[in-house]
Amino acid sequence: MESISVFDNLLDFLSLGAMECACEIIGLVKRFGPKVAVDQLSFKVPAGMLYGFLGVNGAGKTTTLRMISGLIRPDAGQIRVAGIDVMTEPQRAKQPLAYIPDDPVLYGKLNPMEHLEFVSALWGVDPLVARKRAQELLEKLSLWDRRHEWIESYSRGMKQKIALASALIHEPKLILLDEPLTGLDASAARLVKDILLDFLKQGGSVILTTHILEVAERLAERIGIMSGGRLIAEGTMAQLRSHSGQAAGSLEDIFLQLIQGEREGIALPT
Amino acid sequence: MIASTASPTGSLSHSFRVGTALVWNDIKQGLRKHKAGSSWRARLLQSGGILFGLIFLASLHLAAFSLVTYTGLSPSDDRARLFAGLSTAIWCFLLFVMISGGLARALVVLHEQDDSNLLLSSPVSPRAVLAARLFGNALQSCLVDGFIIVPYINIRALVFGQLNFLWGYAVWFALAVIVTCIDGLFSFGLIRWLGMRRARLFSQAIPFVLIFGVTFFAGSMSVSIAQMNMTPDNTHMPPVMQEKFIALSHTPLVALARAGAGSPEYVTMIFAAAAAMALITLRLTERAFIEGTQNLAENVTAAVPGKADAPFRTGVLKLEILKNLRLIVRTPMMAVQCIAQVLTPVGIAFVMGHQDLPRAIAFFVIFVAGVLSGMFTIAAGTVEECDDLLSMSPRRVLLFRLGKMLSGCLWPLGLTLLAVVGLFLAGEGLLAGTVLFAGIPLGLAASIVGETFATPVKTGTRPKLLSDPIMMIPLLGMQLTSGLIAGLTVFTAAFSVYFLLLSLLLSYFMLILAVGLAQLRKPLF
Ligand SMILES: Nc1ncnc2c1ncn2[C@@H]1O[C@H](COP(=O)(O)OP(=O)(O)OP(=O)(O)O)[C@@H](O)[C@H]1O
Ligand SMILES: [Mg+2]
Repeated sequence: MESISVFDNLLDFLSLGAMECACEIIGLVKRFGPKVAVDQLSFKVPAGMLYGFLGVNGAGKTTTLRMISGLIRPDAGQIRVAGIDVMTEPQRAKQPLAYIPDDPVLYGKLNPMEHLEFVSALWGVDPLVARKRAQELLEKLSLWDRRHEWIESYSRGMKQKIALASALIHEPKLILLDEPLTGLDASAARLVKDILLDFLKQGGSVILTTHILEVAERLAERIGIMSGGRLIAEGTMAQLRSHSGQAAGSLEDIFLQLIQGEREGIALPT
Repeated sequence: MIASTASPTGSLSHSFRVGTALVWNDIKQGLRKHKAGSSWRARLLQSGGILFGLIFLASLHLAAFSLVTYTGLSPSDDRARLFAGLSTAIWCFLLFVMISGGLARALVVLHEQDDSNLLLSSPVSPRAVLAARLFGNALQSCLVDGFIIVPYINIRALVFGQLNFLWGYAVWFALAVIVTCIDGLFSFGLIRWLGMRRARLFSQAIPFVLIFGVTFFAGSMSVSIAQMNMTPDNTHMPPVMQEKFIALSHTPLVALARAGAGSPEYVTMIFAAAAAMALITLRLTERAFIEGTQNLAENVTAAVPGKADAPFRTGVLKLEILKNLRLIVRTPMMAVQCIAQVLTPVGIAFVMGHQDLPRAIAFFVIFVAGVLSGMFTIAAGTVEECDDLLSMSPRRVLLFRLGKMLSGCLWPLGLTLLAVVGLFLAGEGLLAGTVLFAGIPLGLAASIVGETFATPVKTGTRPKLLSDPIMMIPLLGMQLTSGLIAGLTVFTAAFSVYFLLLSLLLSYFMLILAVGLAQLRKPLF
């Protein structure tokens, strides 16, 4: 098994190296006072892929996404989005990027059209194009009928949809999604998943954090598991299975085992 | 998937477009926030508010008119200098009010805006965002403090036909830009040196010190009412006072008045100063802004668990009050805001106290009873609240609203009673009665009214209280009403008991009206 795993890793390494990278992170460190929130984090997200980012509460997922989106400065390390360094060329690196925080702020006193037009203006989208796209997105998300209402009157799930629409309106190449499925009903969650899959099919990439493990298992091609600011395991489902030695285990089994192993200080091959 | 862009996102035209969109967005949202609902109640309330505003503005115009006429009628050797001094005084007052209010505004607008996540993760240059924010802040500062200068400009230009005074409008805006930049720079400095938490406290305390200083300074400089010679056949400004205005017109501050009157070199100077300040501010603060002061780690001390929350049982009202009092104290920003608001007239009271200490105390205590009760109640209701617990509670919301009011007025009314006892023991029976019969009802009414303005914030978000423009309405209302009632009752008490009774009746009428309006807003029953 060990030899297969090594071979697997090698193949993985070669193929990843060859692919175009939507996002590349090297040796990322972020401290908040004495607390190390992100510790020597490195990983790559190949273009056209959904990368699932898992970890217990406080593992450092949100902090990582905020650093990628240029909202906070890392203390050390490098971040490249589509090959552009976020630190040295922030404006160019942010152009192909969309970030939806876990608690997205929408303009409550605007209606969704106005909100989407404003967001697309930020990304420099032509107003006419923006209007057309906004209409398409709202229709797709079945919010077109309520387009005249202010966003503050929307339900949580509807707001979540608007947040997704404002990420898609400027046609990014990489979307960072922090727990996008909280508060969505089953059909809305399905809708979001479908939209994401659609986006992937067109060549976009997604980094998604979630606590719903089966979503990650179903959608993500690669999965990274964080704990205490470090990546404790990373790879495809098959690779994670072989790491943990649970050939038929679900992601939940693997996740819990890895986390527990980490807590007990058992080193796992990564 | 290449985004079709109208203009490259780094370009100046794009920055300009986004800046404009941002300012327009803020204005639109601000306007909508004040749009009344469709119910007759909301409409009535809004019309009442607009009417109040119009009357307020009209009376300010009247005041400006009388001031200009009064100055013009006074015999003087150097009329031009006298008027220059008068203009300078008004412009300086505007400047101080703008600076003092602007600091708290700068802190919120530049560092605590909810949408900074969206704006700073977009490819817009942060400098454009910063510039738009500063511009918006200047606009707001203009509007909020405009009531000081607009009546004066209008009266000079439109009634007295001195059209050059219309330049005042441009100078008004340039001044707002300068002040916004000063406050913006100052806020960045405060945050860098003190940290966000303490910066917020200071931004509340500094304006108070400024205003206190100015009222005190102005109060001690001006001549007392007795010297003013206000008999109908002899209305003129006493020479002592004229000298003070003329002295003011010899200070560098006169530049403001000269610019306001349209003198080309001074207008150019003010505008150049505004442009320079804007550039300097953008340069100096851009880095700090990008790095996001809103992301600064705050060492928020964790609340001690298991004390503030209690099960619902018979003592629920007491528990609610204790919890509120604790929450006010634990949100020092709010406590400081409340107290700073109350202390503003200390200067006036102090000046009055030159000749008559008990009267000054009575005035001050009544004012405090009104403003502090209202402010504390708003504070008690604006802290974090667990909405679910509220609606699940068997006693329903009424009890909690009562708790807010009581926790708001408990301390101020206690203080008032103490003052009553003190005045009585000092042999000032009439003043003690005045404080008792004016202060207590005022405090109670302020609590009832204030409670309707309190809206609990979401868990985890910071209560903004005064920096929310909508809070200006209750705040100004409370200060004006409290000041009026305090002044009226204490003044009339000096003449006769009958006058006092009359003014008390008038006060009660006002209070009942205010409480009635508040009940329209958010009925208790
Ligand atoms: N602004 C901040 N100041 C201080 N500490 C912070 C700050 N932001 C995050 N942290 C700390 O950094 C660590 C990582 O936080 P982060 O929000 O990234 O976790 P997370 O993985 O997103 O957790 P969750 O699953 O709960 O969303 C936590 O211990 C948190 O307390
Ligand atoms: Mg998180």
